[in-house]
Amino acid sequence: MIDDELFNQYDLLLPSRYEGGFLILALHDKISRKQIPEYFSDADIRATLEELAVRFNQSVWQTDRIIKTLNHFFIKNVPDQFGKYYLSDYARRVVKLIQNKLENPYRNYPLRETFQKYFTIRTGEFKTIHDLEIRFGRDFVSPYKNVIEDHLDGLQDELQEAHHKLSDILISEQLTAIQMVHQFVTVFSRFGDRAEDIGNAVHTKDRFLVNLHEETDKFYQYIMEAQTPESDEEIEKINSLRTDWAIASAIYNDLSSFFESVDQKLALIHKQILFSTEKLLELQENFSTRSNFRLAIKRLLNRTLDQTAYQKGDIVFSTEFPVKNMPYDKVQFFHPEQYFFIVQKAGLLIEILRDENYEQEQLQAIEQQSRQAELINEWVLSALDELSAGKEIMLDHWMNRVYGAENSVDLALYAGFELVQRTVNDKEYHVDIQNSLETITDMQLQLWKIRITAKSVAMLS
Amino acid sequence: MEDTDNSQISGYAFLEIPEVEKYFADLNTKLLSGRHLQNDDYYLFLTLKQHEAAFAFFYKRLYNLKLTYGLHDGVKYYYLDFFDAGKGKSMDLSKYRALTELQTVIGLMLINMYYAKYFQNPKVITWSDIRKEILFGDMKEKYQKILFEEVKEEYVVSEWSNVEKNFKNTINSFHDLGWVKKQFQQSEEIKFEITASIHRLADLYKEEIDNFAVFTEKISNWKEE
Repeated sequence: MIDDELFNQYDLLLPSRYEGGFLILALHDKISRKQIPEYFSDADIRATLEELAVRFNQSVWQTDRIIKTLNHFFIKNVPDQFGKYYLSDYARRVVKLIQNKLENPYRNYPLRETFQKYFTIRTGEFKTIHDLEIRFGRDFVSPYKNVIEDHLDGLQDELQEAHHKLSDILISEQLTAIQMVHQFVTVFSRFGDRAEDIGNAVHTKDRFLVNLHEETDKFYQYIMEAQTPESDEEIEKINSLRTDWAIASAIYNDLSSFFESVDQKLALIHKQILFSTEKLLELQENFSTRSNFRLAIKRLLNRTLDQTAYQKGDIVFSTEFPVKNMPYDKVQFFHPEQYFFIVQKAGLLIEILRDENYEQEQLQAIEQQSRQAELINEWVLSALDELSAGKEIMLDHWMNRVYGAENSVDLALYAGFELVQRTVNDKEYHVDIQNSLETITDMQLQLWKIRITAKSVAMLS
Repeated sequence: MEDTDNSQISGYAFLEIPEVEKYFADLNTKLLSGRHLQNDDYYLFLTLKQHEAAFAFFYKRLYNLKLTYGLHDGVKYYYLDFFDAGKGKSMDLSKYRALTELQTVIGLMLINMYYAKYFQNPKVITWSDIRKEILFGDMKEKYQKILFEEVKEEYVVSEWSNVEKNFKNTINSFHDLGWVKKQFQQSEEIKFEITASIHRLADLYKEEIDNFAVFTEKISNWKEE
């Protein structure tokens, strides 16, 4: 969390170019060239500001206000010498920081050597925890960490710059192809060196971490080797060993997490180098072809634009300019709004011709059936009349009579059944069935001997 | 054309292969509508690559079109072409389409920008890149002359909006052709990635590029007449 103080004082800590920023740079430059003394005067400040005003086409600045701003952090009054100032340490550090950013001092210094210089452990170097702390304790190691970080920043800046240069090589037309390739090879070789350096540095760093782990482990070993404490003195000793171990492991953890972040940065840089290298290798193989092709396209575009004119918000070519065709046979699907998937069949009317023979047959059959029913009914009714008149009916004789009159076995049979049906359940009649078969010869029938009588008649007889 | 695929399958039998059956409809529609198929249409590209000869036979026999491919910056892209390049005019009108003036000019402009972004991957172009090219590029005056009718110090919003509309429509059509990958909706600002297949346009003008002097002379002769 950045505290409010920092926001409030920002303009004083980092004044903008015309609020003293440029002035500090110019004063620092003049002092280092010994054009003005370390303790410079009001007049020196005014003269420098006038020079800057001319150089950057600005009207003369408000000197007093600027001095007031800078007086907070950047320039200090020389005690006892009114009107004399000197650059504060903060001012010098800021200028140095800016210079380093632009011209990284580690740029041409291999990363591996930096690693080796600061992070090498000689055998038996650490007799006590104090030795280890002085070498790698958080406060002692912090400048080395900064150096490594500056190194990585420098490397990243350099890569970015090289990247821009490469793009410029490809699009610059003034240079001849040979010069282009030459430039490109120079940049390329630096990439290669850098990749190798990073590889070495990672290796050095890994070995360092292994060695450091061994050294810090020793402090753990001391605890393990100590005897179980009994006296106060021994307890104090073991506690002190424990403290040593805690310090040692804190040192290891601090450096190990630092190198982890270094690892991530290195991986990123390595990846960038690989992509650029790949593109460069491709380009190296067919550089002239690629560059010629690019020029040809540019020439064609140029000529095409010459042959083009604005027309009502669109553009048109001169009639002679060749227009190109491409195959285009678009498959189109038309979607109807409604589609009946179930097609209903049309109702066909079939006129059936009249079959007169069949009609006659059927009519006769129907007529015969109804005549038969009528005849049966007549016969049954007459039989019932006979019964009521006191006569008795022997079924075989009666059926024989019907057969004789109508000449139909079916009719006689149905009439017989009907008569039995009518009388058998009727209380007024008595049906006497004897268990002996009577044969009606004409009809080729046999039936039980059945005698039907009316009850009143039966009683009388 | 390479013969890397299942060449033992002859005629139209390849249509029975399950993966061909699965992707055929999509593949056929896209190729016939002029699309250039590359790796990002992964399954279609793979199917085409595996049955290249069979598909080539199919298009030759049924459409009289040549299935071919371009190779640029290590990227391969398939497309359909006429057997006799440039003779499309003699064919059925519904079977070919001419690139419009806007498509031709903007396409060539994009190939040019492809090389300005040569070391970048992916090569993403925004509306601001295009504006910069029109206002400050090497050929700014020529661009302005054809896009705005006259060369001025500044252009008003309505003048820009017509130019933007023209670019949007053209980029949309290039997206369908597979020459760019669009990364904007119609209401948003233009942003897209140029793919290697944009070089097909350069292939179409190969004859003019290879014989540039003849081409220039032909055009200037016409002017003198």
